[in-house]
Amino acid sequence: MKIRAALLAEIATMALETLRANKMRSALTIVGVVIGITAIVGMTSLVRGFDRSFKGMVEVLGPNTVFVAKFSGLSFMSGKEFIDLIRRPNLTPDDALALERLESVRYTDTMLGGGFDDSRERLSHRGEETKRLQIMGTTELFAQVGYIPIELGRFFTASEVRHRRAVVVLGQDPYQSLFPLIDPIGKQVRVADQQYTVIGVMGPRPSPGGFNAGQDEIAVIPYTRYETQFGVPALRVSGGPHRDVTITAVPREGQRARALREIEETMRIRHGLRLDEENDFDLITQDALLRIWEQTTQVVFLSLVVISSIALLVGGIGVMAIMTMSVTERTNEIGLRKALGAKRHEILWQFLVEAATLTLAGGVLGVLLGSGTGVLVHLVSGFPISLPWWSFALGLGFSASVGLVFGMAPAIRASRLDPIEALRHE
Amino acid sequence: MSLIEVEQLKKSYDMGSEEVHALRGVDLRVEAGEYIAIMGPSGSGKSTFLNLLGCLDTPTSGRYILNDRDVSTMAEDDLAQVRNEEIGFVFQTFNLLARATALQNVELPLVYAGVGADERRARAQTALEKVDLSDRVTHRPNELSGGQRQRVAIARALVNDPSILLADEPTGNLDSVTGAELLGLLDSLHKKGHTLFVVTHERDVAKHAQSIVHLRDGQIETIEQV
Ligand SMILES: Nc1ncnc2c1ncn2[C@@H]1O[C@H](COP(=O)(O)OP(=O)(O)O)[C@@H](O)[C@H]1O
Ligand SMILES: [Mg+2]
Repeated sequence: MKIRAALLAEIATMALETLRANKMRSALTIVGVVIGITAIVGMTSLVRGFDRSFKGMVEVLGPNTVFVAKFSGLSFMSGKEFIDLIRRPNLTPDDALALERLESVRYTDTMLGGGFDDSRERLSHRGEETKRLQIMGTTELFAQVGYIPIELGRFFTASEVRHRRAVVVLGQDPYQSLFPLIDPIGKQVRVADQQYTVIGVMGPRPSPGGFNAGQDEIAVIPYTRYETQFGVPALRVSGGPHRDVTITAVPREGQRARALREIEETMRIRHGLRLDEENDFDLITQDALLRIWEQTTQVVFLSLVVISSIALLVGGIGVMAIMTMSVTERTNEIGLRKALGAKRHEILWQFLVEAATLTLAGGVLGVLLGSGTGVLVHLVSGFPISLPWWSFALGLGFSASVGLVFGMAPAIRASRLDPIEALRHE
Repeated sequence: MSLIEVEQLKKSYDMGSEEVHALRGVDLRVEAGEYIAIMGPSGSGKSTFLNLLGCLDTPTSGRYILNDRDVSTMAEDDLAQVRNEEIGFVFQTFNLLARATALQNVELPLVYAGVGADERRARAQTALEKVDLSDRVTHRPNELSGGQRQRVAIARALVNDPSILLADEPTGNLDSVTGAELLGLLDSLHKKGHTLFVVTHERDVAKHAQSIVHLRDGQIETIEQV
């Protein structure tokens, strides 16, 4: 089935002219295609962008580190109710000590006030004040366990933790707002109502999604000091008091599986769980996070496929309708073209190209709208996006295919018209 | 060999209960350069005969040799090619593409002949000059008078340099003055050597031809020399 170049060019221009002549009708027809392609391209850019930066962040955690928490995103994603989660027993610094005694665990770090928490405090230095920051009480291992680089000075030591020293390591945000020009090491800052000595500054921290989620708005003090100054903060939530304690455990070399098992057993014993009872704490590891994330993105992609398929189907049916109308309206033209020498496949291609041009126009619009949406979201919120070329190709390919597939029936009908009857039409 | 040889050409339509015999065996020989009018009462088979001559349709039986080729048994796409190369149609209702300019309308047969854009344009231009419309190439049909539209249609019929030119009631939609102009144009084409068939029910139109084929009830009644 050979089609002449001259004819193809002629067909393409004719197709565009037909679309121009029926602007309103064409626009309505391609709405479905535009929506479908916009969804594909836009959602791909967001999901893929978020995916990349999320993986980057999770990888920083290290493949072996085990986090123990009262609850976490994992329990939400597995569908547990907030009200049940908040009723779980609170973790304590003593839990961390118990885990540290395990054979398979190299060291642990306790983090107070790290996560789900509204007790934020201001730091001040010589009348300069920061916004409300997250104050965390940790062990000397916090930076090491979290792979957080120390940009200036040092982190506090085990001895400083033991002696409840009033020392603070600043995150990027308080560092830059209090000491934009001078060396902060050795300077005094006030945390809430108490004086601390600055001994170090942490480098920028990665965050899920790479946009500013306040991950640098922190200051870290020894957890012993934290307990003295703030107590382990109890947050009154419906369901009971909630204390924010996260334990980070780093297993010994090659003992990750055993460590996981032993940590789980120890925590179950400490919480007095019977064999048939579920864990009332979360164990968070890099691969558990990645697995959950993968599941989530799969669901997102699946729903994306469903949504855009429906939109494209609606668009396709619209195309079929408009092309059927077009064939009927132009029966006489088809007869004329046949009389002048058009072969069947030439008529067939004319209508197929016309349908594909129509839907491809919708596809181009969808690609522009979709990537535009992505870029806009990125500019407004800093949300990371990714615009892979294949999502454009996919969008254009899909839209053209919709035209070819749904234009097929009307095009075949046109190509089979009897020239005499077609000419006599009207 | 004659340009056209028609032997015992028959066309019947199966209408379920009965069979309609539109042509009941027509014999005709036409030499290149002849000008022939076809007359007859309504329903006598004029259009059917013209459609067969124009290879728009195939006969139920009989033979039609055009330019040494038997076109009576050809398949649809082969007939399309014969129409493209050998036949020029002029329709009563002009049948121009409304969205296309005069030039584009005239180019259309060349598109299906696979002629390149430049040559197509040049040849369409020449064809429009032949019908005295070189100053109307960029006009669309709705910007042209009836007579001008019919001349565009004739230019389109000529552009492929066909063996025969077929016109079904070409003056039917024209007033008498433009109708007369059109007949003058057909006369001049005949003088230049084109072979013409014109279906008409007007004797004044038919008198422009060299011979008039009178059809009645699907058969040739007489062939009248003018
Ligand atoms: N497609 C068709 N189906 C059935 N009958 C037809 C068809 N085309 C023509 N006829 C019949 O064939 C006869 C000749 O028709 P036609 O060639 O159109 O006559 P004319 O052009 O001389 O008026 C008429 O009786 C007409 O009804
Ligand atoms: Mg007729």
